[in-house]
Amino acid sequence: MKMNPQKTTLPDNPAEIELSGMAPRATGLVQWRRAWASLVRARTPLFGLIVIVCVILVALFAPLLAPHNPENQELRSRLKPPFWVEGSDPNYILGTDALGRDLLSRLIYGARISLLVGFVTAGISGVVGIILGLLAGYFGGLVDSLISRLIDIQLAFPFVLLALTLVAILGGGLLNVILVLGIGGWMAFARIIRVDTLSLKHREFIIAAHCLGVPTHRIILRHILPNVLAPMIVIGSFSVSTNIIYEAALTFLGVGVSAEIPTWGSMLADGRDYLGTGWWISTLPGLAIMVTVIGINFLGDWFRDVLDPRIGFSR
Amino acid sequence: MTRYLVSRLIQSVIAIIGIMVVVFFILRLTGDPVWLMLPPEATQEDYEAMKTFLGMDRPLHEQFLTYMWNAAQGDFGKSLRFRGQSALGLVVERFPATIELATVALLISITFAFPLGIIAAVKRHSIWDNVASILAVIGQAMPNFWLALMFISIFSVQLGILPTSGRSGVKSIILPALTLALFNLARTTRIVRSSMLEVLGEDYVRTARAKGLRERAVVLTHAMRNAMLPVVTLIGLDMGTLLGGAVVTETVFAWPGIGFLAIGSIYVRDFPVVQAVVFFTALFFVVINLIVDVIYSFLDPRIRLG
Repeated sequence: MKMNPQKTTLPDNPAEIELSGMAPRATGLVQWRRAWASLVRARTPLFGLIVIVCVILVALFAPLLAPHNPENQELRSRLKPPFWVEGSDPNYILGTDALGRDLLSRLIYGARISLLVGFVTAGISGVVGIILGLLAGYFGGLVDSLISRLIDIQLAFPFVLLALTLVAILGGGLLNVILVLGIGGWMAFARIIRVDTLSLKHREFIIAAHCLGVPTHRIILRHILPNVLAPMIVIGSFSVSTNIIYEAALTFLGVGVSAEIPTWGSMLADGRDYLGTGWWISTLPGLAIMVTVIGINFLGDWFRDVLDPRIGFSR
Repeated sequence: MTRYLVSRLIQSVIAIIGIMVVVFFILRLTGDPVWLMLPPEATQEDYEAMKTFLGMDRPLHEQFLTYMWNAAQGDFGKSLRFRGQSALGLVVERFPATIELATVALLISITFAFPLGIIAAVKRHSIWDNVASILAVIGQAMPNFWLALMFISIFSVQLGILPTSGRSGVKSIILPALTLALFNLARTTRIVRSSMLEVLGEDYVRTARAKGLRERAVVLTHAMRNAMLPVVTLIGLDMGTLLGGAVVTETVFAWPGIGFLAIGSIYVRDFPVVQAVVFFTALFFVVINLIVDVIYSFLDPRIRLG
């Protein structure tokens, strides 16, 4: 790392070092209170928050909430429509599918897979992206070119096709879907972290830490990481929502999560052959995906407004 | 400029090779691809025959070199599903259908996105602005395979006015193109709107207004022409996104393009074709990206490549 000692004037008081090094993004209790106020004032993020909390609760308490066993096939009550359509069965509020399975219960259990995949993949992408972004931004040079090229390569390729090919080769299943989507989605995180790290690394407080003999890994973890973390919440939330859609797409195409587990994607696929006689079978899970994704995106938009207006939609 | 192009070209070639290498090794390291490509009832003799046919009986490094050498010449081997046909040939044969679909979808989305985005920017907080933002929210959140099913359910099953699948006549392209267009429409509207908003705040727009030009002229000639720059780039890149989205859409509508070919080949483990599709798409993507970059530098002389 190159330094320019003439330019750096260190304050005498160490507290000032920290202060002058604070990122322009506001933190602290006041900010959170202000953020909360804006959350309640604006209607869309509040709607988003309510949706997310509901879906999470539904997923957590699925066994208590589901009126039937989602796997239970009741062949005598196949293709029952939801309650607002004539011919519905009060036992099955949202109707049944072609095998007589209760759609409401399947939707409730499906929320588990969607949320699990969405959050875990975003977590994996986040960790990989943050590590690679920090390395690229801090060390520069060859490390940076390598990682930047990798970002370009992956961004320059239709992700659906790549994910599809990889999942097909590796074999489907929950774990492989999570791995492919998780590892495949790191670029958005790395790109932002890299740029932020680049701009931070020449700030006075980093140079000061360096002069004081703080080891590199400590500088990266203690001084840079906390200051570049905020935008990751924004990217993370959009990553959750995109990956929920990707998982549903892979499962719908028959290469994703096993068809035996009730998921929104597999329900959509189940209804594909019954568009005439049971349109609700694929309509309902699609709506569930859409409402969940809209909720997460609303929250993401709000995070962006509060934390960092620079970031656009990714992928 | 030339220097920039050359370095971009080298980068692109590396990118394509990278993707090919990843697919090659994952395919071979995660189990025996020979068994993957055989039906479950295959015998040991079938296995040996297939192994020789694929050249898998040779050491890994030799296989890799042969594979790369053949790939460089556009030879990805023969399709297992369509006996005897060259894998790349199949892809090239299906490509026009995909391009047709993507182009129609792009035209649909541009036709609606431009007026909507411009009106939304000019009349902020009006009903059109609201329509544009609702569209953006829904378009971003709606899975396109679900939209495809809903279209089929309404227009083919209930109303019976449009075919459910296939590629025959003008009618059959309407639903797949609309499905593919919607996501794009939402995105393009957003970008036209924000780009217009930015330009409308510029000094030259204020000057145009100050000298008494009609609002129409200010918006359409002064503001719009400048606002189109980022939009044009994006549309070029969207051609690539459309190709990705086409994989799913083509499958639902059985549209005989490369996406449908890819899925079909993945199902029956016809890996030579899968590899050819991946290669071809990567190549197409890289070329599009390169063209967009060059066009951009011509459109805006302030941008210097290199």
